[in-house]
Amino acid sequence: MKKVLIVDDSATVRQQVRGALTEAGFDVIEAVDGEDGLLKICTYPEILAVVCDINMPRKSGLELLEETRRGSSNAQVPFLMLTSEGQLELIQRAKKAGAKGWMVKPFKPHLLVAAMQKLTS
Amino acid sequence: MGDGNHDAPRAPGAAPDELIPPSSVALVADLAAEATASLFAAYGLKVERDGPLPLKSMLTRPLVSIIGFSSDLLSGSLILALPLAVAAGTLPVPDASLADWSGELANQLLGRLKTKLLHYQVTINMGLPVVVAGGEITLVTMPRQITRHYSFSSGLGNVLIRLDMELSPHLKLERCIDETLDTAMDEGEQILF
Repeated sequence: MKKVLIVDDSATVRQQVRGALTEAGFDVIEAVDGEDGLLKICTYPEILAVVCDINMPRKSGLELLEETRRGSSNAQVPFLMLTSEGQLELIQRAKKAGAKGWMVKPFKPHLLVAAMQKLTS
Repeated sequence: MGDGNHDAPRAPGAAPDELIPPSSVALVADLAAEATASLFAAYGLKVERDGPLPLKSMLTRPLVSIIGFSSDLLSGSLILALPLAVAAGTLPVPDASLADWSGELANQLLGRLKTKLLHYQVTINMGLPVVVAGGEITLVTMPRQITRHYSFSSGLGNVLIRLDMELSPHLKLERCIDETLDTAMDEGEQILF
């Protein structure tokens, strides 16, 4: 099974994403904030894609993305940002840092699944 | 229909409100009210604005989520107070923590308000939600802040929102009229690069 990571400080959102992606055949790992996300990315090099919130304690999603790109063991893992933010400057910052997409909550499960299938293909 | 604009007692030394255009205060509060209705609609619950309410009604909801925002022109906090039935009735997944979901709702509510403000060319930075559950909570308006709050009725109980805002006299809320100019991504939208 394709392994993916969800990084969000909301347990409800993690559960929601897990449900959608598990049903589509993904193996889902969870992280509760950016620091935990970085640890998981380094611990599980088989992670094929990351669904990542923006506003989180300890390390934001953009900081996690940028730090992953700078030198983690899985530096090129695709990131899909899933957030309540729709500010264009933040989206540009994510794109510049190498994110592969941006979704504004609430998300439609079938669109999330389709995006992740594309990113992990 | 009243809008629930009861100002809490101002602390001594607070800046005079007459420097701040009342239209700006009303617009920000109305945008928050619109965001509240659309947020709950997205999770299957129709909410409708009520008339004025006494401030102390805010103290008795079981789930109170507080999230801050900041910018040079507009800063403060947004409070979302829910009965348990509203939280339970809007859960996107079964058996999730109602407190966690309440915080996430506040996060998404502020996100919606932020997007609406972006269409008026105002950018705020979002904080992280804090959830307080149960008991009596006393809400205090800090110096230089203006408070607005609204009640919404629904089939599952009343939802209350409160905005404590500090607005710069330089704040100008001018809607971007160039529809070809992207100002923000809206809720539910996605883009793959």
